[in-house]
Parts: sequence; structure tokens; C-alpha cells
Amino acid sequence: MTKNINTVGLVAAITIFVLIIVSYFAPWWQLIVGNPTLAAINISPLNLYLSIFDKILTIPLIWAINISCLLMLLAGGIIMTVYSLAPTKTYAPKLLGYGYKQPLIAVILFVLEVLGLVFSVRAFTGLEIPLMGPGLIALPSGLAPGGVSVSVNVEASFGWPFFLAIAVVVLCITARLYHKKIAKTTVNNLPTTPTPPAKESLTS
Amino acid sequence: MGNIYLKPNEYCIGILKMQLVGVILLLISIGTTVGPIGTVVVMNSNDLTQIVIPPEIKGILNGESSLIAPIQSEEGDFNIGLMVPKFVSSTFDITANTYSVTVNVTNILNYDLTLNSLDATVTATKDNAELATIHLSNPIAIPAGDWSMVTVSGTWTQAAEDYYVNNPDASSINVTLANAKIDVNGVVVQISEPIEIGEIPLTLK
Repeated sequence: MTKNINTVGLVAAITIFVLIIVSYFAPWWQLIVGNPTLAAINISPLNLYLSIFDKILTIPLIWAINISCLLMLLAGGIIMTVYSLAPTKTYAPKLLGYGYKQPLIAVILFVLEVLGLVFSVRAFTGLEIPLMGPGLIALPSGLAPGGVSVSVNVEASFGWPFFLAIAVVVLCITARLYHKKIAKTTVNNLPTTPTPPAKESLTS
Repeated sequence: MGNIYLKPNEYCIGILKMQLVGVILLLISIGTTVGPIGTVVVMNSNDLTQIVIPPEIKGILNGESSLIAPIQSEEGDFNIGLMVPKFVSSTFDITANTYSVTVNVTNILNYDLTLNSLDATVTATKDNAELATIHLSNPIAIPAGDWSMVTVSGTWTQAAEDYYVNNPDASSINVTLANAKIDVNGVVVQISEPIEIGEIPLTLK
């Protein structure tokens, strides 16, 4: 008898763990200010690196959200693994329902975080931070002395872990769809047994 | 009347397992979200603004610290000569109509700076006649709290040559930098106000 395994789910679970590890080494989105760098912002749902003049700043709330995302993804990966190894158990849909959503939540949180940062800076300061590619930000005239205009070279880019995260989300959704096929196959392979009378099922 | 024992069938066990798994997943969801955020809130309960504003930024907002604190000079006064070039020496090449000017640039910050480019027009302070355009050949690093010799070069104009010919007794000329554009670490500063350099000796050596 061959054991049912959701292979796609297992691959998705492994890539979730890979994503967690790489997110600590490479940012999902990066903004470099100046050349050589004066300030840098590296954003991922698991890590926020904010450095200004070589001083690393930590925002406790963002740190807590990062830890929350880490635990969420870790739980998602573990639960996805457990589900993938036993996709025919009665509780398997519950595990899958939880596991496959976590990378999706992380990606949505990240996109909201980046868009929120870029557009709130635009709205409150008027600084046109690019979402992707190089740019020259002109400081508002009120911030510079008279007769002086100041602009700053910036460059923003999405890192490859972001695209890996999208791949993980696609894998998780595929695993979700693949589960239907496994469930259908399992139901079809079940031996047909006559339904016992209600009396027998209640008494020994 | 005999005892009646209820025998849970596999369906009931499955439902119970599903409910149990559902409860565990709910607890995980709450734990992963509330745990870290709650811990940070409790740790900073004495001042909740610390949750969103780093202490460094708070210090700057309160005027207690600076990310790039100026380095104090020995006299106890802040050196305000950052990026204002102080003339050191100049050379001329009369055959190629080129010259170079060496200036002293001080970095008063506790952060290494790189002068990427420097473009300006040299004008005579007396009559604003355009004498030459200058540019920086190569980027120059200026270490924190230190100074660097910055040599800029350029070609002089006919007006400069005329001044030299018409003032044979003049040993120097008072010049001003106009339309200065300086790129330091990618921060491009354009100064429309003229920067007075002072006397530049007129020498062919």
C-alpha cells in the first residue's frame, strides 16, 4: 500500500523554510539613499534593517511584527509539512487551510508595508521615493537654506526573496488545489461498506 | 435492564480531531500575533511612544543627540567650514590653456564623506566676468573629522586671458565660484549664491 503524500505541499513547506532563512540575508525590498550609502532601508516581513549614517535603528513595533511574521511562517511551514505527510486524515483540510495562507498573508503584509511607506512619505513630505529603480529626490525648499537646492540620489529595488515568496504562494495555492485531487482519489478508493443499523452502532 | 455503552465511530473521532486541530490552530494564530506585539507593549509600558519611535530619533527630536554629530574643534567651537573650499595653491599651463586649483575641504562630521563631483564657474569677483569652468577629475574620500586636498581643473576663457594681458602688474585675482554644484555621497547640492574664494595668485608655475 502506498502512503498518500501531497508532494506539492511538501515542496511548498520546504520552500517556506528556505524563504525564512533567505529573508534574513537578503531583503525583499531595498531603498538605498546616497552614493556611497548614507541611509538604507531593507524590508522583508521577517526583518527590517534601517540604517542612517551607519547607525542601525530598531523600531520595536516593527520588530514585534517581524517576529510575529516569523512565527506565523514557521507555524505555516511546520503545519504544511504535517499536512503534506498525511493529507487524507480527517483534520488535514484544517491544517492545509491554515498552512497555505501564511505565505500569502506575509506577502500581502509586505506589499502593504512597502506601499504604505512609499505613499505615506509622498503624502506627508512630498518626497517622491521610487518603488523600483533609481531616482533623484529633491528636498522641499523649506529644508534648505536660501539659494541652495538639495537633491538626493536614491535607488529602490525588489530583491529575489520577494519573487521566491511569490513562488511559495503559488506553490501553496497549487497544493491547495492538488488536495482536492487527493481527496477525490481517496474517496474513490475507499471500500464500500454497508451502513450498519443505527441500533448496532449505539450498543456493544 | 442492561448497561448501554456508546461506541464512538470513526466519524465522531474525526470530528473531534478536527475541532481539536481547529482550536490548536486558533491558539497558534493568536499566539503568533498577540505574543510578540503584547511583549513589546508590556516591555515599553512606561513610555509607549518608544514602540514606534527609536530612541535615537527621539533624542534628535528632543535636540539631545545627532546622527551625524559635528566633531568639535580644539577651541571648543564647532567648525563650520564643511565643504567650503579654502584655497591652497594653483597651477597654470599656458600652452594648453588649462589650470588646476587645489583647495582644502574639511569634513566636520563623524561620518566619512565622498566628494563625487564638483562643478562650478569661476568668475572675477570685481566684474563677474566668467574666467573659467572647473570640474573635479576623480571622486575624493574625506574621512570623518579630517580634511582632504581637492584638486579641481579646468580651462580658462578668453576673458581670463584678457585680464592677464591687461593687468601685467597684477600678482593675484580675486575670484568667486558661481553655479556651484557639489555631489557628496549622492547628495547633490546646487548653490545659486556665489561663493567667494578670495585671491588666487597669478603664476605660471
